[in-house]
Amino acid sequence: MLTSSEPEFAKHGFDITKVAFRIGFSFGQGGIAFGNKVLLNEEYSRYEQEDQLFMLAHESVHSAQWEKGYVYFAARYTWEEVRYNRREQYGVPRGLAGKTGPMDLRMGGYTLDRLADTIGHRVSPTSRIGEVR
Amino acid sequence: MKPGIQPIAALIATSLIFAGSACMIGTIAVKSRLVSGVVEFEFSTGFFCPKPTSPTNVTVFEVDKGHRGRSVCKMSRIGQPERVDLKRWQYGSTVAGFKLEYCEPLKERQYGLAATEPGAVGAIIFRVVNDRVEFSP
Repeated sequence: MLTSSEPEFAKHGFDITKVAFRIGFSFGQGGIAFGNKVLLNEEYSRYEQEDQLFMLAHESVHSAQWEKGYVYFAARYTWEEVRYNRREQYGVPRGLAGKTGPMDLRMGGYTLDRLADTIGHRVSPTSRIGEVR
Repeated sequence: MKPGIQPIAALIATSLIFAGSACMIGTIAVKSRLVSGVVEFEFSTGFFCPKPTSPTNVTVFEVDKGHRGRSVCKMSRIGQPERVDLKRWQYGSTVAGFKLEYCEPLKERQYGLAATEPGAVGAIIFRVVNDRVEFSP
């Protein structure tokens, strides 16, 4: 399903084929990334197809962010979890919507989840998990 | 590192690993029951996800032999109001701030419901049987 998004991830210097997905126990999350291993919950197959694709892309971005430095990733993600509410932490930033070029997946000014949502939205624009706001 | 410091460092590291990985995409917990002959769904924050959730998109679909079938009902939030909480929804009913795109009457068969909002997803499989709603794990 995610094969079509390989060029999108290649733009950002990340090889999506390195990511391994597994459906099953996911620590109570819809999806969770540990490096290049992504766990998706057992309900995954029940979601809309566009949402499934969005989740794969979103989690893959976290894998790419993780690859660039785990300690930085964990510290920043933890801070953003504490600092922002769901509305601020998630969603595609208006300033990034519609752009198609390469971007820094850890750029400042946006949360790691908003950056992941931006790529998720490029790959699956109709998913409501990552609406523009 | 002193011996006494190591467990504390390990605890901090473990907390960091977990906290830094929590709620990548959270879950919406969905429950269902029959109220005066109408199926009512209740949405709440999923386990391990402390941030409040409220679906912006709800789809009900047929389930055939465990596989997702065609969609029979769809409701989506209109625009982006600051906060429109959807905690409960009776099947087929209209809710302020949402658009009911289409909705077919439910039959005695297996259905699924998928709910999404930015950063969270949830789903439930259910079957309407006479005067009750049965769940599938």
